[in-house]
Amino acid sequence: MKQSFIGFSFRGAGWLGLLAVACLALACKGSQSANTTFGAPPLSDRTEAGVYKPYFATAEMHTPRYLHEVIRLKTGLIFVTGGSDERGFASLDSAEIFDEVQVKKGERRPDTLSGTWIDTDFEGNAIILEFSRMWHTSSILPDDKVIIIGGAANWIQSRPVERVEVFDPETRVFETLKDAKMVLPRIRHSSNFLPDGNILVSGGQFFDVFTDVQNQGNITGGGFGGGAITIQIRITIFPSTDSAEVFNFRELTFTRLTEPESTRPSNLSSSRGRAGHAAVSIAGFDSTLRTEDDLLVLVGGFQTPKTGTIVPQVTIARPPAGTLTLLKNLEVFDPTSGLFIQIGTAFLLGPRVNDPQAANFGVFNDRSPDNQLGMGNVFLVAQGDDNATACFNTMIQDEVFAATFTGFGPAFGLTMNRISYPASATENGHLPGIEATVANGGPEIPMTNFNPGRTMAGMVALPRSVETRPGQFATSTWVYAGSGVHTWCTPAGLATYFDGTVAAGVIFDPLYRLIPAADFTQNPRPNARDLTATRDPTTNPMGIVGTYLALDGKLPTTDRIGFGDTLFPPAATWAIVIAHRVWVELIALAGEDGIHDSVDDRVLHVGGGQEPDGSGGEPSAPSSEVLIMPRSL
Amino acid sequence: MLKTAGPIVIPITCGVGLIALFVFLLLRNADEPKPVAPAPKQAASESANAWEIPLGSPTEPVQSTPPQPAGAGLERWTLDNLPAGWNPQVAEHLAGFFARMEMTPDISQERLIDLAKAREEIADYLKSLGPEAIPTLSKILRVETDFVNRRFLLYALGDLGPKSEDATIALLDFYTARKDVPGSRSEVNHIVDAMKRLKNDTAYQMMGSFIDDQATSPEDCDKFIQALSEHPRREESEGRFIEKMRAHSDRSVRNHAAQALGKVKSKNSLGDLMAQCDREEAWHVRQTILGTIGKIGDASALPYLERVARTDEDSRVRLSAASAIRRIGTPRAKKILASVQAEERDPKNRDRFQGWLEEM
Repeated sequence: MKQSFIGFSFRGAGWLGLLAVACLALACKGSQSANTTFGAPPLSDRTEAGVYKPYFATAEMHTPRYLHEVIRLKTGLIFVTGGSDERGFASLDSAEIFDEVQVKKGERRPDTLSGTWIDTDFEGNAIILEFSRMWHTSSILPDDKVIIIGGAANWIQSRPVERVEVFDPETRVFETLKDAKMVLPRIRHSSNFLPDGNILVSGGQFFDVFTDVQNQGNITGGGFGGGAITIQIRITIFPSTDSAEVFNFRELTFTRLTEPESTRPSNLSSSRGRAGHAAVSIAGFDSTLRTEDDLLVLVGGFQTPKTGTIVPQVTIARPPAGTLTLLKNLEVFDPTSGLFIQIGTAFLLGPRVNDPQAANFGVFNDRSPDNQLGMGNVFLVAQGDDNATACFNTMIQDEVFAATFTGFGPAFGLTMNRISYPASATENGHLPGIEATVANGGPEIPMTNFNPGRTMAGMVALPRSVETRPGQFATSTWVYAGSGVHTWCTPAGLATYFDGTVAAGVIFDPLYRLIPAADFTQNPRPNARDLTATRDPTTNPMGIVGTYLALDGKLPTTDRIGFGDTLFPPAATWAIVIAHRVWVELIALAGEDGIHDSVDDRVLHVGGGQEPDGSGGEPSAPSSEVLIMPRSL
Repeated sequence: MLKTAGPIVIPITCGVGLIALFVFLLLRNADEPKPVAPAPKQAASESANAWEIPLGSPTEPVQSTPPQPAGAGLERWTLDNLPAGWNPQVAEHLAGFFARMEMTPDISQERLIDLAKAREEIADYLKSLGPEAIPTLSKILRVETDFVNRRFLLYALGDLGPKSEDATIALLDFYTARKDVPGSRSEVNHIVDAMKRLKNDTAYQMMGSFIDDQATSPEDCDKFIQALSEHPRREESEGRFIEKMRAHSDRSVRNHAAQALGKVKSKNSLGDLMAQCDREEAWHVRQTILGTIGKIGDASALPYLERVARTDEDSRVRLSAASAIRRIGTPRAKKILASVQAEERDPKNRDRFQGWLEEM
């Protein structure tokens, strides 16, 4: 039975996928824009002189921030909660809403073409959370309200918040649920939807006190038998957890996840759990997303110890090296069995911490352009770093995984494969294929430089249209990544090069070299790639190769770079520039057509900080931008 | 009597206050040499001009200019080189706190915990200071490079406002120095938030002047309106708020001006609020206006609210109008709300109105 289920989910954004698909399936146009006479104001990605400038600053956020959560409401408005504007030493209790300012044809243009931020409720009061939070999650409930789960007031030694708050998008007022206390309050967890509409909260870190007994010497003589002098020291620690709990939205309660028909807890399969990971839904045995057999993949992140020989983590700030175990394994939650299952057939090439990202290539169509079912079984894992002290390295190689099923056994006999290719001179750490740029919006040019990796960045899956043959179009999914920082160590490993944020956004196109519409008019016409040529039923069932396309534009940021300046040489349109934007959240917006999840979608960059090495530093200004996605690809 | 339309009328008391403020500024500048002016804007743009894009492979790292915080360009102060007029004891204490609060990429867990303690201790220390510390706090504020440290000083000066008008001048100086520095949006917001705490007469005049000044950016004007709406003399700015609600081009400014009128709660503003609600194009501003009408709580607004609650095309606006009727809360208001509820087209609104009726 077709049912709304986990779509794709970055940290806590499970219902985004749900909504996305619900909208696609029902051809809905968003409650605010259900009729197409309304839409976002027109924005052109070219100046009058024809220069490609796809980024537009919006009105400033009322409270610029990072380490926040962003989610799209059913109405299409973007909702931002919490975060910090002070390096995580204090968090924010404020929330605000981005209104793209939809217009009706013939109406006068709004005072800002790319949107405004709203910080008041339906009676004009400030929108305020009861508990200030960061490292929390936000998810949309079946009744369209938003639940805020977990997080902490600061990232030193603050106890994670056990109370959850629900935001009513109609009144824009928060209500703290009286009886819904988390079983284990946590941070750096993931929140995703289950087929029954409840929310699964997995992993993260929790607050604990470790009692350490230290020997201070021995006593002898004096008529006593002698003995050791010991003292007990109580230390606040933040171990990772393997526990999972479920929020029941009908009863408004949390309960520990248990195995079906049992009271036995169902835990993550990774010993000591997982925190700071990415979570992404994939299609199950039926190769169709949003059905009851969908699976949830947890990937990346780290573990911190509770006790033992490893130094415990005593704050919740950016985890110090030496206090944590970096994870390269993947595990899958199977809602049918209620179990987490360790993947033994595929691993990450390297650890990914500090906001790794994952996205499913079947979010907007389960089928490939040549009508093969299974795009929802393929996903991208990207971004993050190795968290090495004083010298952390961005993961420059992103990875694509594909799931296949036998139909028998746990998780329907799941086998996970990391799609790999023969090494090539052009690989440069990324998936091979041709690294290409989109100079002035296209056509693409082979890149002469490598495509930088990113950490502390954002990523969002978007629909796009591919013309599979003249006059025939298919919807598929591609992924935009923007902002963040690229770092690497010197060969001696002694220094870190903070090269600032990566200003040029990139698009990962899993179907690269299928003929885009624009290419039909090119002379000579580029060679099309035949997906069947790269298909392998075991290792690459969809024939995905893909490549990154770098946009010849960049985020408008601080005084360092003028908004929309073209700084890049034509043959190397990516650039590492000091653009001061880390911990940015990306989310899709409806475009001029007023329809969410259409190829007209835009990307909103929300918030961000200026210092990758200073726990975020001062918030960026401007604090949000809109990207017009290229349409000529 | 305050005008509710047209040019803003500044009451005589305000005018006198403004003159006093400017005379004070003039004398102060004459008495004291201008402190070493932070020139972050200039420094930043010079740096930007000199900066080159690094290109290369990951195995060939290119050393680029390290990222600079928005406060870059300010000269760091040191204890061994205190300019005249500093209170060395205050400076020494602050230097100690700031050293403990220094954030580095490889900071240890132990140092982080001490850093958190230092944050609590400096807050307590700053609360213990009297107006005599203002000159030193102001000087350090202008030369401190770390934005978090500056925030402590900003709010300390704000808290000294009720005790001394000098705190206003210190924050005014800093605002003037920082307001046009690119990348300083967050800090400017905090400066205005600190000004909110001043709650003295010069602060009232100063914030009012910035709101009235056409050269003030919409973002700053917005923040000043919010700050002034918390001032004990906010009622005197009723006309100013009305003017901004009616005529400002920025919807956030209009929204917070309407919000400010909800704190003034003057019946005199009802006519302007209703007229603007009919004219306003931004749905959320209309909601705020209706919320303000509800907060004023005058039954004379009921016919207007009833019309909006019954006939407006936007269900969000009808929701706010109905809520305003609920806030007025008279038996007649309840009767109107019941009637509105019966006719409401949006089922969610209808359910909500029913719940309100049961509570009334």
